[in-house]
Parts: sequence; structure tokens; C-alpha cells
Amino acid sequence: MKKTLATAALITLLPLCSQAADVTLEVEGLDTSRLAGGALMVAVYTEPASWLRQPQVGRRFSLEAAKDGKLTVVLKDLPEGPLALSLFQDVNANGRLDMNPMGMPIEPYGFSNNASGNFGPPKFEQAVVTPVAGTSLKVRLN
Amino acid sequence: MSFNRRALLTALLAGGLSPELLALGLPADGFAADAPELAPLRGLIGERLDAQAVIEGRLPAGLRGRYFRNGPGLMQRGAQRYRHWFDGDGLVQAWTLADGRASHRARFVQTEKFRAEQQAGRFLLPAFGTAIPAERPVRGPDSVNTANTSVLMQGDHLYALWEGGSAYELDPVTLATRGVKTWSPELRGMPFSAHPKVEPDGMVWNFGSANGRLALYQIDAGGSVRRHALLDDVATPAMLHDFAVSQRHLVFLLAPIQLDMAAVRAGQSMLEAMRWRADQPTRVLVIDKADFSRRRVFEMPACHIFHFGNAWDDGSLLRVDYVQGAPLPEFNAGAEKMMRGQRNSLEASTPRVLEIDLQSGRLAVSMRDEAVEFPAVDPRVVARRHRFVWYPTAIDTGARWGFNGLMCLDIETGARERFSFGTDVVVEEHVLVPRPGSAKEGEGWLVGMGYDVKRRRSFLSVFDALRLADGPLARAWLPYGVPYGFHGKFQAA
Repeated sequence: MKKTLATAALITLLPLCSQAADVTLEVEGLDTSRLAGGALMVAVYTEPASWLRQPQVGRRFSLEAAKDGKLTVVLKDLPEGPLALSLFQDVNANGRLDMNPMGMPIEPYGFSNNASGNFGPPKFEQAVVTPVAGTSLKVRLN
Repeated sequence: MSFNRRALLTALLAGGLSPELLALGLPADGFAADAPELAPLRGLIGERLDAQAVIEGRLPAGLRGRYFRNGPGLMQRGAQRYRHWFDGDGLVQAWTLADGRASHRARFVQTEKFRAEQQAGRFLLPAFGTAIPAERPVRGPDSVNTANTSVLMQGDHLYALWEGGSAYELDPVTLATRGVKTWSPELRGMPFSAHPKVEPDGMVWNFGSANGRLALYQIDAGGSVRRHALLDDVATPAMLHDFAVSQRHLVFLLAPIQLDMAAVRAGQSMLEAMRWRADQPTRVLVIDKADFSRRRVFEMPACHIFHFGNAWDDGSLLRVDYVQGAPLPEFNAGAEKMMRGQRNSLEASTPRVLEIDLQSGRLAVSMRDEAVEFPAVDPRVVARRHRFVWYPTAIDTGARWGFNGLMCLDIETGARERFSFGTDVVVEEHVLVPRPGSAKEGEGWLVGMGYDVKRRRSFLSVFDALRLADGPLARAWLPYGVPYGFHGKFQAA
């Protein structure tokens, strides 16, 4: 009886304990003329309110394994459930998406769902995806 | 030739289409049926043109080099047609002139937009004057850059220019596209206008405008950026096409054109969303070349200007010559009719010289009434005192569209000299090519293109620049017609 209860508790608690997932992200559209010394920066958001302001998770990946402008990375221990990604190729590894004097981004960037905005970044709702185990997310940088 | 292509050609030829018309992409669809001078606006469909020209007359022995031109060459994909002349995808032409012979080559600039749409077989991106829904991300002006307005030669580097985004670099011999030009890393993707001014020592001045802000560039003859600046408090109009440079100043005429952002967000094209505010002045912005923070602004009644000839400082007087056109809304309505193959009754654009007294702030404008556009000056007088301006002009063209002659205006004396090709020729921009070994302004040839409406062929014409009335020294005829271009530059060999 005691053992059964313990098992039941374990089963009940299982989803809570494993509230983390690994997500494979396939990125294409890297600027191959500006790979050296750069990095892929990925920000993960789970809340519309913090979209493009305060990421839940931020990751930096080397571009050394990039091939033909493509790179596959694994985002480990992400919160489960719907999330939205913003990512960019940090060409000069300064940690920022650089802009030209007119305020236009000058490093390749993209969003999950390949969302794109109309005169501005896309909304959280356009970029939000729910990762499915065994499939990868694909994002094209522009 | 594949069977399909041969079958297509046979079918087209049986239908009465000559290879020249095929080159023009002219199926018998009735385009410009009532205005044959507009037929070249039908456009090409992405093909390459190469031909040896047939010379009529004699090309001057000293005229050696390449004459590059740029303009909108593709107007339509499938049943979808651009609405505005300025929308067409950039087609760069190169004439190679040497030893009395002339050869012609034309290639589409392989912009990001052109390549994607050529592959898809349809338009995928908004055009300047046509609200095409974006099927690809628009990440900035270069996503929709058509590189269709002019060219810049700098040393051995050839650039195809637009006005809203980056220059594209091309191979000057093959016209193959090398890619987007970035003048320096921080200037990636910045607007770089199609009207840079090149001083006789090779110094390049240019600007770019976006969201009411004005970027200024000074680039030396070697291609290095000497200075750049962003002026965010000058409220540039929604369209700013050209400027003038004098010994000491950069001069802008800022027309009252506002962008209705709500209309843009609602899906209108940039051009459709422009609002002409006739009640507001055209501002004259004068910037000190030595110190961009030293600026003066004067006001004149609302007027719209596409092109400047030149500017020069004469003590405290600043003189600027330009061509004043119809207000933007009328111009756009006319350009849209042209694209439908219909004539318009647009008010003629005419020469002006503006004199600005920098001490008193007094402005004086002298006006003329000849119908002209595309002013050109001798490259040896850019940003210095000049006397002559050359223009295509319309002489007794009646209801027909386009220029049919050339005019040289002496702005010192007011004297003019003209030549008319008659009613069956459309004359495009002509540029001045200095005669090797000469020193005086105007000594050289006037070189440009035209289109013979009856023969349906384009040609290159060469005049003695100071003896226009004598008629062309030579014409080099192509076996095809080419879509009308905007601007060109000559590079001596």
C-alpha cells in the first residue's frame, strides 16, 4: 500500500519534475562572409509581456560547425510549453544586434515561426511555437 | 536552341513578331497601341542583351571608353504589372566604344529581390509604387532594393544605384553582379542615393534619406569613407532624389512631401502613401561641406525637383541650377498612365537657376519655359562655376510622350542651342564626355541614347557638345529596342 502510494505520487509529480526540454534548432541563412569570430545568439521567451525585453533563457553558440550558412544547435533545458525565439548572428561577438545610423539591423536575425513584422519586429503571438519532442524548429535568418 | 524555345520562336514569328520585338518582350497584347513611343516600357523579362551596333556616320576617334546606363527594365511578371515607372527592376547597359565601333550589353542587376522573383516567376515583394504583399521578410530597404536608377564609376568599380538602399557592385566588363556594397561596416544597409556628385579630383559626395533623417557621405577617390554623419533634425521629405554640391556647400531642396504611415500600414505602397502639402514651403537646406553642423534653411513656395545640374559659390551668393517638375501627385498620375501604355498631359518640367544670398537670406529664381529633364554638366565643373547645361528637350512633340531633341543652355547669357530628331524619336539622358586633351568646359561630346519609334530600335547618339544644331556626328544602332533608362555615366578608356 505504502509502495503504491509512493508510485502514485511519483507519477503525479513526474510532469512537475521534468518541466524542462531539449529543443533542436536548425538555423539557416547565416552570412557566410561574416562567420569568423562570430556567434549565434538565441533568446527564449515564454511570456508575451517580456517579449524582446527580458528573455527567460539566453544562449550563445559558436559558429564553427556552420556549413553552407546552416547550423544546428540544441537548446537544452528549456521550459516546456509554448515559447518564442529571437535569434541573430552576432558577427562581431559584442553581444548586441548592431544597427546602422538609421537604426536598421546590420546583422542577420530571425524569429521562431520565421515570423516577420510589418514596420517593426513581429508580435509574440506571431513567433510563438510549441516544440514537439522528436522534431526540430527551423528558423531562417535574413 | 531547345525544341520548346524554337517552337515558341516560330509561333511568335508566325504571329508577326520580329526578334527585336521579342527582345523587347512585346507579345501582341495591344500595350501602347495608341502611343507607340511608350512601347519600350513594356519591359524585358529578365533576358541578357548583347549586340554589335551598326554605325551611321562616324564615331570620333578620341571617343574611347564605356558608357554605362541604368534604368527600370522589368515591368511585369505573368499578369502582374508594376504601376509606376520607378518600380522596374534595374537593367544596366554598357556601351563599349573604341576604334569607330560600338558594342552593347545589358544585364539585370541580380538583386536579392530580382533573384527571388525570377525563381518564383512572380512578384514577391512590395515595389515603391505598387503595393505587392510581401511573401518574403522585408528586413529593411535592401529587401526591396531594385538598383534601377543610376551608376557610379569609382576607379575600376562599377555600382548600380537606387536611392533607398545600398549600391550594388557589378563587374564593369561582364556586368555580372558582385553583390551589395558596404562602404564601411557601420554603414551596412544605409540608403545611398542614386545621385552622388563626383568632383574633378574624384571626391564623392552623397546622401541617403529615410524616416525624415538625412545621412551624408564623403568618400574619396579610392573608395574610403572620409566622413559620414546622420542629421536627425532636418525632417527630410518622404522622397528626396538629388542634391547639388558647390565649392563650399551641399544644397538640398526639401519638397513638402509627407508619408502617411497609416496608409502604409494599411497596405498602400510608399508612393501612394505620399502626401503633397502645397500649403507648405519647399525648404532650401544649405550645409557647410567643412562642418556638417553649420546649416542654413531658407524657404520658397512649394515646388518639386527631381534633378540638379550643378551649384557654385560666388562670394556670398550660392547659385543652383535645377529642373522644376510638376507637383508629385500629378507626376505620379502621369507615370502610372505611362505604365499602362497611355499618354499623359503632364505639365512640362522646365529649367531654373536659384540664387541664394547667404548674407541677406534673399532668394531669387530665374525661370525658363523649355520642356526639359535629366540636366547634365561637364564633369570638369562639378561643384565649381559652370556655364553650360545639357538636357533632352521636347520640341513640337504635340500630344506625344517624351523628349525628341537636345538643348545646350548657356546660363550666363541665356543663349540656347537645340537639335530635334523629329517626331519619331524619343531622346533619353545625354552626358558630356570631355575630348581628351581639351581643357575648356563643353569641349567634348554629348553621348546618350534614343529610341526610334518607327524602327522600334534603340540607338546611341554622339554630338559635338557645343554644336548640337549640326546634328549627331554618329549614331550606333542596335538590332533591338531597350526599355528607357534613367541615368548614365561615361568612363574614358
